[in-house]
Amino acid sequence: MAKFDVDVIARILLALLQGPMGRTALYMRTKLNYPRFVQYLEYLKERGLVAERDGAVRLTEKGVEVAKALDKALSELL
Amino acid sequence: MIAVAATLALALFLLQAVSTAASPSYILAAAAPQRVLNATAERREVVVVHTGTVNLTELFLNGTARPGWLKNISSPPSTEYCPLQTAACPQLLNMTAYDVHYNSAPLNASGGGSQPAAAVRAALSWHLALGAAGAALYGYGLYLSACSGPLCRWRRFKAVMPLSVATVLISAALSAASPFYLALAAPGVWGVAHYYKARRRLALWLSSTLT
Repeated sequence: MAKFDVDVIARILLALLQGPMGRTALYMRTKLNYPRFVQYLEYLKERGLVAERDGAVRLTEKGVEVAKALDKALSELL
Repeated sequence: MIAVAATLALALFLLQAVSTAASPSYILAAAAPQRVLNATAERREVVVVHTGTVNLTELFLNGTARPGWLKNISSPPSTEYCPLQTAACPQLLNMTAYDVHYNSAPLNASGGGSQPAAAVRAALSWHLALGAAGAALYGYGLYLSACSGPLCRWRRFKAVMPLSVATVLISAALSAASPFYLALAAPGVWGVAHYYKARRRLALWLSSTLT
């Protein structure tokens, strides 16, 4: 599988930090093509960061932890 | 990448536009420029031929040609209009004019025959292009950072890069006015280094979290 870009992963995690959202809405936010978006989604699911239920993608507990840590790191950087 | 490509394209376009705009307006109006190399004693190069009304004031004061370079081809070719005394000349002449540039240094010129005006113009156009590229990147940085929400932090972090590069480019552009403006590049360079360092650290942290 291709290398994953930290930029896209950060965008997905931070977008989901706002709350669960539909697959299409998340896909639009990532600005990827659909097959690549699915690859990222599967990758994050495998790592236990996101879960998909009732057509909505949401962060798992571990995902929330990572997204909050990322958000905190960014706020420290800026 | 798109923004960088667009910026470079804009810079090149402006660079070309500036070098075109340096010529008098009548040159732009010429329908089909002719290029004739006349290897006389002064090695003149005829760049553009224009038939019609020529404003001598514009030609002599704002144009690239100099008094004495203007020839009338409807008269005998060696006849010069207004040689060296533009004040005595009529302002408008209906004639065919050559815009004449030196292809190289005149043979009888003293001081090495450099072309300081052309060199300064070329340097200024490069500075202008750098400034335009910097302004475009600055606009892109502002566009990235104008947002709200959690995703906005990431966009603002990404905006550090174009804003820093814009600072470097604009300081390089301003160095035409004074070399001291180059000191303004220091925060830009620091910003670029800071951005790469932080991004690398984040990538390492994220990859260690994901594996």
